[in-house]
Amino acid sequence: MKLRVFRWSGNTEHVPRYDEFLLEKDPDVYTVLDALKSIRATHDPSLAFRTACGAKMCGSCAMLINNKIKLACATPLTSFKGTITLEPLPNLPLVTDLIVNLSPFWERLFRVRPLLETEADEHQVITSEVQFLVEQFGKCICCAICFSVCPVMGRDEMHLGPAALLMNYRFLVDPRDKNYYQRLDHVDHYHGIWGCDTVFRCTDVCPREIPITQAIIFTRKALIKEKLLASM
Amino acid sequence: MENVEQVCHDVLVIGGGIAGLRAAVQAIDAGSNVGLVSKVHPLRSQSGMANSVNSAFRAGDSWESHAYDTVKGSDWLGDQTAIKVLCKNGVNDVLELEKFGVLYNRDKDGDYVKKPEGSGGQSFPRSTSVTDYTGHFILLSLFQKAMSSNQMTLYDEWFISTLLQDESGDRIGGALGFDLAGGKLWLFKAKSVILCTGGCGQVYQRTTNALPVTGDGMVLALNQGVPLEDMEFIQFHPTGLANSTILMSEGCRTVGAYLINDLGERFMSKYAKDRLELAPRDIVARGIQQEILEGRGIGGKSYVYLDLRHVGKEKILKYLPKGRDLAITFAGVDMIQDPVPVTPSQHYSMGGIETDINGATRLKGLYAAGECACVSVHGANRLGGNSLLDVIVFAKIAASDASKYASNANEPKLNSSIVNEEIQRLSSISTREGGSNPWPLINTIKETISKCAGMSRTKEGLSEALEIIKNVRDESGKVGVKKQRYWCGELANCLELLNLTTIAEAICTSAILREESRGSHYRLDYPKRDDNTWLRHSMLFKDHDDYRISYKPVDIQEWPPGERKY
Repeated sequence: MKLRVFRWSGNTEHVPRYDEFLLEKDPDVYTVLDALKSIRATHDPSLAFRTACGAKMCGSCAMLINNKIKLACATPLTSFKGTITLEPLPNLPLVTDLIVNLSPFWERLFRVRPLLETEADEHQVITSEVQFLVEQFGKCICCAICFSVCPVMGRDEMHLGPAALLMNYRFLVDPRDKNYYQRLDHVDHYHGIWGCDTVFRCTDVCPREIPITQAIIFTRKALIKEKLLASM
Repeated sequence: MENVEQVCHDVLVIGGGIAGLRAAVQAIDAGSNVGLVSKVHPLRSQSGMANSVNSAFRAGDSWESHAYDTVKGSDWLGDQTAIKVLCKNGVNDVLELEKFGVLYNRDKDGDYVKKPEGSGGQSFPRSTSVTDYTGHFILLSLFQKAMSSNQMTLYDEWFISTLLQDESGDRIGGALGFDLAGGKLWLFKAKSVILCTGGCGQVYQRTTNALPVTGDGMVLALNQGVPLEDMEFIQFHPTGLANSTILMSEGCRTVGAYLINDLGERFMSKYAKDRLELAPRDIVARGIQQEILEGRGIGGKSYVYLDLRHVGKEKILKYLPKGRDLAITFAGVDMIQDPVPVTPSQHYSMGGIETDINGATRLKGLYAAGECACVSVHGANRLGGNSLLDVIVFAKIAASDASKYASNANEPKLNSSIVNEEIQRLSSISTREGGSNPWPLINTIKETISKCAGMSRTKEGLSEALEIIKNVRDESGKVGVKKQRYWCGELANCLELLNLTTIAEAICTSAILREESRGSHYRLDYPKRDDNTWLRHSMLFKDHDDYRISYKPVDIQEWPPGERKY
């Protein structure tokens, strides 16, 4: 099995290239991430990639694996035959090798003010159903896979993107949050919820199986409802 | 000092996990200007993987009971005044996180969920969680809160290579580090510094710890003359997935999982006849190891089964969705239908940077909180759910103290020759001709420590380890960066090798000197607990290349040492 990895030094005077590494059968090397670590340790210590938990929980190792966006730590080598090509995430500026600059992602996330501001009564009753909703959307690990797979990100630089819209929805369904109307208003434009193509690519690839498109559609419904009731 | 950026903060927090973020939020609240430095983005931190936190707020529970459980769980090495602070503050500090956005599980009437059983070593079901995403929610909420303030600057993917003292020599002055993207050197002046860099598990082969967990902060402190306390106490979590070391959380056993050997027996009845699977982790881990050593691992191999089939689909999906997904993804096993192969993995470091009950070290202005610190609240063994509690309570206390200290302190003056020395050191590694690759040396350390400083230790094994590590230390002077590039990951890996070598030396030196068995430190040549001589904390100091050890007594209050039976 061969691993073909995108390499770029980070210096604009150097041209990117693909390096090929032959993978020997090794029971300790089970996932794509294991393969990257093994190559770095034995062949090329300059191979640059992000990794932390190795257990599908931190979101560090998102990349293109044979043209599909996945977490390298959760992608077994056994699901491939022949050559596996590794490339950095699309839709984001390149830093080096498989590392991208996530600033555009974080910037959009913070644009929706993802902060709980509450005037809620301490004794406000929150049931398990409500808690489940908040948890379902708040468990986003900010891996940027949805951001990278989104076709709208490719054509509209100003678009907020799936993760930011999902995070906004997490606060919309949190009964403690006092900014419900401001949150709806803030995404009520073409670069917000109305720009979504509703192709469900984000929902398909989310490693946490969050129904991201649902969050966007439900935000639209909430907005329509508020406008019809003329309370906006 | 051309080409070095300079910045000054009231409080510099090193480490961006839950400890670092909780400290930052507290310091911001106290009015300080905060710099948060982390070598990975804060949301990639280890603490995001945690599963639940203990808090004694429920009716029928008491913080005193929680404190006693913790003291007994620590095999009486925990400092009791500090443990009381941990458990008493924990009653409010855990629920307080809800105002930052955390939302713990509720039942259908809106009350906080109470699990069926207390977790390992706990006499009451006091674990509080957001299903099994607790660490993630706390991390994300604190991150969002901290980032919303204009009093905080985040330096993410910056590596700190050394702390610096004020030129008076009697207080902290800041730190020197570099941006991984581009390699620019940064001089961080700070009136106070809080180390929140986490544990040191990567010194072992089989560890549940993430790759960046290399004990950096512990070494930063040690190099400034601050001792590392109780480094011999390393926790091995009983249930890591057998083929990968990913953690199967204690939550599995809290909802009723059994541990089964090759004969289908619930073997923990031999090692802890009352609590069985819910005995403290060191007892369960040794139980599993014993079964494997005596040939009763599944198929004679070195793992046993964690069996949740009888727990039922509904409960598993309700309490353990993430855990189930991990077993499916990384072991190909669905716990609803099949038992999960598990074996002990290194998980936590009870020891760390010596601090007092306010999180302060012996160096004025330098604080530490979380896994990198040793107050000591965990003693010789930590109970499940108490780590998140430790982080939440003591990061808050340390940050309050640090802010107060900073508000009364002048801007530090740094010794420029020491700064230049450090810049030279970094430069020599980056530009070394024919420098060797650090990874084979890192592997040697991992193999050696796993073999000689694991769950069962002997004098011979630890001596052999120290010899091998000495060779690694000598060889590590030759490592260098292969290709000078924009991204300085290679330099970071070389520095991590040096940190791991120091941690390995610290663990083995402390372990070889403690001639007793207590909690997680188990000596085959000294298998009994010896309160007459060893009811004391070890403190390891490093002066250039020499180590020296001294001891201090354990703070015993109303709970004198007793028999540790479960």
